[in-house]
Amino acid sequence: MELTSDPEKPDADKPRSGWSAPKAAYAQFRPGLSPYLHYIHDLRVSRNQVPAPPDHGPDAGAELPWQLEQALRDLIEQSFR
Amino acid sequence: MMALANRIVTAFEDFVEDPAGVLSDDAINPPGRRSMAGENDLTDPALAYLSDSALPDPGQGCIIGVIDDAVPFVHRRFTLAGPVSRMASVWMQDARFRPGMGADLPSGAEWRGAELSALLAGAGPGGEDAIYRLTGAVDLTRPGPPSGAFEAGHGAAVAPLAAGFDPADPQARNHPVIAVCLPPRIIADSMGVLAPVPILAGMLFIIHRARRLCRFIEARRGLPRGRVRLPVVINLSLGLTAGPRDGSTLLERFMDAVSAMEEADLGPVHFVLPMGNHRQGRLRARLRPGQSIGWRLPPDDTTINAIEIWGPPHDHPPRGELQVTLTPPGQPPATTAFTRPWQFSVLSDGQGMPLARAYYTPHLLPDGRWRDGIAVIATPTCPERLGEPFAPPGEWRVGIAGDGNAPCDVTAQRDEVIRGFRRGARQSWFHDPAYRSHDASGFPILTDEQNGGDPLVIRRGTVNSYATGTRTLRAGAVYRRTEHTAAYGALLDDGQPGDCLAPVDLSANNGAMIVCGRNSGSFARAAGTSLAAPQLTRWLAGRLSGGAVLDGRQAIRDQAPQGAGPQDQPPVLPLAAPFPEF
Repeated sequence: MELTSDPEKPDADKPRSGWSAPKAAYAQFRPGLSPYLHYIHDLRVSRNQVPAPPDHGPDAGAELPWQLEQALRDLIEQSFR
Repeated sequence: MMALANRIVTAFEDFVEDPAGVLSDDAINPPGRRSMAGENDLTDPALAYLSDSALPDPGQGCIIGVIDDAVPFVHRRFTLAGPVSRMASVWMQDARFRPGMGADLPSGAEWRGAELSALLAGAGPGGEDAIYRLTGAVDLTRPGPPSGAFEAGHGAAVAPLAAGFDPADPQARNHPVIAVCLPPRIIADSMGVLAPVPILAGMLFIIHRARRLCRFIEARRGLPRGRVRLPVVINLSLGLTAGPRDGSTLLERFMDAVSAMEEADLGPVHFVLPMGNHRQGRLRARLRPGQSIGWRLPPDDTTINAIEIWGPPHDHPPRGELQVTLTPPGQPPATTAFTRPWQFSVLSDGQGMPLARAYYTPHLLPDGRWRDGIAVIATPTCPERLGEPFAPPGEWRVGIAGDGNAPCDVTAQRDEVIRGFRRGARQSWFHDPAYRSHDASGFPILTDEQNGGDPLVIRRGTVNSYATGTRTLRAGAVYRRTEHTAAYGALLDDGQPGDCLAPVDLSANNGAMIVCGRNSGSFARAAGTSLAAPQLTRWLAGRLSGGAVLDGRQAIRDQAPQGAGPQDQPPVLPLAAPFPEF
């Protein structure tokens, strides 16, 4: 028997190369949040060293830049109150 | 005050949560034991910051703070005759948690000067090593690199340069020291990207303990509260090579804000950082939309490689205007499709193997405008563990998608191994045929002007990306023989090699200086602007303790001596601490 892909669904099972659909890395501010920390945390998840974080939708981090700004102001204000 | 004390405990819960795993389990201050600092450090002899004989002159002291790896806190150069410790407080962030002292800290062990003096007084032959083991600075039974046991190291070189004095030196007593030893895993991270939160926690610690030290001096000398306002100079000989370089990161804005504060109970706080050592590293490029550049990833690299792309400032909230096109070797180009802040995407090959990730990280600038940023992290080209994904080594291409003419800053993160720590990191770099590293005679080309043409890879703006705020002081390195700028020393955007320069390497062909090792009397050779920063710290602390009022970079530059090197370069400080003869 010849092994061929389904002509109705060419490359149906083959993963597509390219970028995945974007999703949010974080949903809310936490000190030190960074792409690197997120990557390393995911690596530790894949190694079963830490539990997996909850999945976030693509818009979940939309407020983060403002939260970062507020956190900075809080840190400075409380440091010298 | 109490708010700050509380802040150290509460603001860094994530430091304790430790998503990157930089802290050992037994280093963490259990939640039930955490408490705010009280006032008993002024009266309880067990909590005393300094022995009475080590108290500085209230009118002429300047506190020196050092944040580094494995600071040798009982080194002879941190003592007065006796021996009596000048180390008012040291916080080892990843040492086994020490109950009783430092209950307001999220982790680790704190030791204070009076008890260190007692340990020194009771130490026999080999006493320093015994003290490091007793205090938890060296504990070979614990996980993590035992950098406290290394014969020589970064902190052992930096801290004595910043704050070390001969015990008989009359200046010594007026320079109490507060030190923070970062978790060794921070230094083991070949990129250094895990450091900002521990560094911020360390800065809060130094500022808090400096204020308490002022109150302690008042209490011991019978002075009214608020009379002692010692200035503080904090040395941070660490840095990154990638980042927005516009002063907008949390760490930079915090340092700027603290430096600008005028507080009733503490003198001015200055931060000194190194310029960085990557002028010639080909880690910095400038691209316009439609342009692309080669990004070369070496094979057999068990660590990630990363670049950051930062777009021009704009006035509206981020909406995904910056997108990058990444082309791994043998793969088709793929362009990101970000729409909202803090999204990420994974780039996979045709077999589903993840090759890289991209994160959309727009920043709100201090002036209210916005800047789009994207960080690209490539999977290691050699898997660290069997079964883990890996990316192809070779030349990747990075392009800026879309239209427009405004240039974007593209920077590669350093990926280097420090001796004694993990191996396997190999530095990636940008490849641009228009960039020339050497001239026809074999001499290195040191500036963009000398390079000529219009290369995408540039040498300007290679400054340490922790050091682009408005008030931090940046120290560059010069050759001791000629006082010419060291070829590796990074450049500011205007092409200057720093705010002040300090002698480090003997010459271009003898690239090192003698520095202290961990144990008193030991020495090592080291190089880099990490050794220029502590010399600037030391010089500045000396000026401040002499009563100088130095507000801002220009005022400090104006006070520094002009060296014998080229006239258009920043001031060159005298060699801070010639290594003593034995």
